[in-house]
Amino acid sequence: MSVVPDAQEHNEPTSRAQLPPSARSRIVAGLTAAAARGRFELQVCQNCGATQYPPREACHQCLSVALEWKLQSGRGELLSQTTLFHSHHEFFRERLPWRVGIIKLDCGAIVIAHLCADVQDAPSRVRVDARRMQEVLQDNFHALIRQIANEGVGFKHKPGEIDPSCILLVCKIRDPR
Amino acid sequence: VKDTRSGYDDAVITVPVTVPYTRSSEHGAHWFIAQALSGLLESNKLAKSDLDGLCLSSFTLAPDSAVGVTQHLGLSLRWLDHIPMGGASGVVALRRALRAVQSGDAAVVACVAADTHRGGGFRDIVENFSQFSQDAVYPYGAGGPNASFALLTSYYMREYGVQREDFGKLCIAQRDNAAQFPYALLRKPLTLQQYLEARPIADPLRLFDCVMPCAGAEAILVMKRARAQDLGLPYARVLGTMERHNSFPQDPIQTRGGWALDRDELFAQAGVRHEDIDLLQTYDDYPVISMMQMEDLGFCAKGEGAQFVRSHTFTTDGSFPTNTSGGQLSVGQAGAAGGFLGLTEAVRQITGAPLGAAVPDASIAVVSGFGMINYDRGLCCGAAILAGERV
Repeated sequence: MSVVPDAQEHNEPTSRAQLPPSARSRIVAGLTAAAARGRFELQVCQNCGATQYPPREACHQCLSVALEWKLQSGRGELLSQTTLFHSHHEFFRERLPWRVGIIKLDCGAIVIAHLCADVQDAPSRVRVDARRMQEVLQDNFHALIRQIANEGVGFKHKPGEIDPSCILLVCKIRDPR
Repeated sequence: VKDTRSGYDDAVITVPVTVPYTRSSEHGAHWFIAQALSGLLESNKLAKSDLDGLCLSSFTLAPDSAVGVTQHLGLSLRWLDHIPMGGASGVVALRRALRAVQSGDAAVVACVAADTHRGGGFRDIVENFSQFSQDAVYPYGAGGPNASFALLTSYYMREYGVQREDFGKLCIAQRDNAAQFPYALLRKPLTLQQYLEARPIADPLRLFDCVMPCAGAEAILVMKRARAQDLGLPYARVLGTMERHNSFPQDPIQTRGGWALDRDELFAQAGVRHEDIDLLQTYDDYPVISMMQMEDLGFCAKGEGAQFVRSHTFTTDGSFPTNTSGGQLSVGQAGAAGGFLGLTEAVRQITGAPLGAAVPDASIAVVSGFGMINYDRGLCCGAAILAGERV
């Protein structure tokens, strides 16, 4: 399945501030709760030790339902990245271009994450963290300010009141100073 | 216990139908299903009441499922299936229907994929595609399948030394094929320069790497061979099939699909060799996945897709005719019907009844399907080898 942007879906700023997509399944609550305490945690199977992402109801390896949220180093390798020039959601549409990547964590899990501006293209060693959307935007904000100066692109609205439970995985350079 | 698979000798595919595609439609999916069923009955050789089985695929039927369609369209059936496998739905529906007909559980099965499309409709599909997508993909820029395929394409290009020109060659050949296919929405010739310089969508993908969603439907009938012969309907036999879901889960990123696991058995069941194949219909929502299918179906080795593309031509008169109606990249992607487009086109070609340009002397085709990017990769792979019988 795929898409070429509809006429209705062109990347024009909308007339009102948009909130980021916030629908998540119940099982993500563990990730969110940990992130609120400043921790990046993933489900670890208490039976076989497998670490998994996205969050699941059972272990993808042994089917055990004994899963616990455990602190992660977040270290891994960026496998591939893309810069989006089109989005299906208004929130991102007025903040394009938006950079995302796919990372293989050292624990084995594969994550898709927002890429901070200073992360080099794959292959590169990186660190993934769970951050509030508000913080992600602040990081992106700086990149965009530079871009406005360079290319004259921008967006109308500063981020509004974003639900603090809106958590994103963020990919940073390995050991930021 | 030795597991063996029986063949499909006495069940066949007939009456390929395409409901003309439109860029968008105010009609619902049920309208397109009705049009597809009417098309299946158009020859007046079968009555509506002769249909006793239905295998349906659609993304835009909600809140209905296939059973709602039976009442909506006044069908009384003794066999019903609903296949939510997107781009693999054609091959998978075919497999289900063949066994139903062979066993006698149904006599005439209509396999239908139909979807409508209107502004914002595709966004709704993307937003609610799967639990993993909702939790772990959509919040990251909401790029939809463009973003997923961009990540796969970028990796694949780096890993195997593929150039954008290689993908462009496939897209341009398909556009040339589309020029003569009456239902293609995109028929204007495409130049390499236009391809390379098109508007960026999700790096490295640009506009002509991405299919255009639209409304439309595709359908076939599956019935006993003797019935097709009695009715005087041209038909295609099914020599071999495979399907595989969530293949190679340990691969960190998708560079191969289930075809690579099952192609040997597929060709063995069919009793044909690669050099016997007259045409290939890949699932082509993005060119990278077409190249992957050429490799994984065994037409060339893994990593040699680009070289294979450079050494062949893919138009109907080419050295390796592929996506001979123009494929989804030129015809459009009518939702789940994208998973049937290659099937109906292959049946037409090998029964000597193409709607566009004919592949000369075509009798054996490979049809491949790929669907459902649940999280980071497409989960459903399928393929079938068909042989045409002309009347």
